[in-house]
Amino acid sequence: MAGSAVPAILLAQGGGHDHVLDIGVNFGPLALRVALLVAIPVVAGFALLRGFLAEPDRRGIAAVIACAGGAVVLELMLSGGLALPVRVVPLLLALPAAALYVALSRDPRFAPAVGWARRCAPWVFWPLGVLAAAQFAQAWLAGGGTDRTETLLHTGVVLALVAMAWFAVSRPRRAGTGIGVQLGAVALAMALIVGAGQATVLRDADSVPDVASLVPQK
Amino acid sequence: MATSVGTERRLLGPGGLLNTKYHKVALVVFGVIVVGHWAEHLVQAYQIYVLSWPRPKAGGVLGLFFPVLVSSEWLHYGYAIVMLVAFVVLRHGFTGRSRTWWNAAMWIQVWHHFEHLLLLVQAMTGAYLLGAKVPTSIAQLAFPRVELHLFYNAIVFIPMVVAMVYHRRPRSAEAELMRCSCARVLTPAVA
Repeated sequence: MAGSAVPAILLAQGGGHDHVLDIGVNFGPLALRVALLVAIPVVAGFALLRGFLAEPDRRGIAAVIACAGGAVVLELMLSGGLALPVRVVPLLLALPAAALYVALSRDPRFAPAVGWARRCAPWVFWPLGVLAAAQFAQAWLAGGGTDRTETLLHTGVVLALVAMAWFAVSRPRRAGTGIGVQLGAVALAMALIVGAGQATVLRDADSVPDVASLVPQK
Repeated sequence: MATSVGTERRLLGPGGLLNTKYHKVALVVFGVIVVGHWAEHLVQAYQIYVLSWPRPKAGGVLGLFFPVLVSSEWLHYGYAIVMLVAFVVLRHGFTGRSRTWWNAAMWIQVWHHFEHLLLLVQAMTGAYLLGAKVPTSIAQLAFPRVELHLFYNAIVFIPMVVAMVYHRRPRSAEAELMRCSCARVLTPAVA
């Protein structure tokens, strides 16, 4: 939606960069939702199929992690808030970035650290996965109204995506640990798809500020 | 001095003209742009904090005559892109310590650019981070009251300057690897 009628937006940067943000175009959050609903099946599909296919190369794993990280950012923009302190959010973005580095790093100086990170990846995956599952369980089982459910689902989706980023780089030493992580990732992937879909449709189309609805108003 | 000026016709890449014959010129042009941007922001800060001008009126120098330079996020984003491209394109000319510092500045600028992109996308879609009332950057979630833009420019600028100083004053071993004519003084190699 071209935006000649879109007002200039005050960008509150909290500093000397404060200025009126002149964009001149506003097309609403639909594109973000479409991007999210493309990225999440990529991540979930990877988790579901990894056990049946050959191990992907570095670029394939990096692409999955990039999808997960990008989906986290999209979720942050599309959610009205998370059931987490906001100061945790930079950490949740740093974790996929670290996973991406682990996936792509070829620097021999950091090879021992990268190998260690890959072996420890399940210990990042499991806590985040359990936290995500707890958010989904609360949303689906505890009730509490649409807003509460939506917030819990968005939180669960964000945590699950970060967990998936570390699942992608995980290479446990023991076969049993690997199978356990794989099964956990499959379960989390299915919850992720359902949770993301439900969170997306629960969000009121008009609840994003300053965006005119595409649906005619009565 | 072991530096040699490249003779390749390619513009980009490790042996490209911008990293050999024209590396010095490119760095000077880039430096002028960066320092000019800094000067504008410092003047803007002076107008706000010393002269107590209202923030919307504090346009630096050029912004007073061309307000769009301050008000257009596209221009700010464009500047972030220019910086990022310069960091990426010119990095091959750096060696040793200067390359390490240049890479550090480049990765910080990658993040700075991402933050600008995020603000731009929020403004374009009306979907603000975590339901905020205005476009919000990631760093604002953790550091809500700092002068973020100046801070970002500073943490990009400092390693960039260090990289340029090391590049101009390379050790012998670093100079051996240089293919541009930037080196001014050779410092003894550390055993």
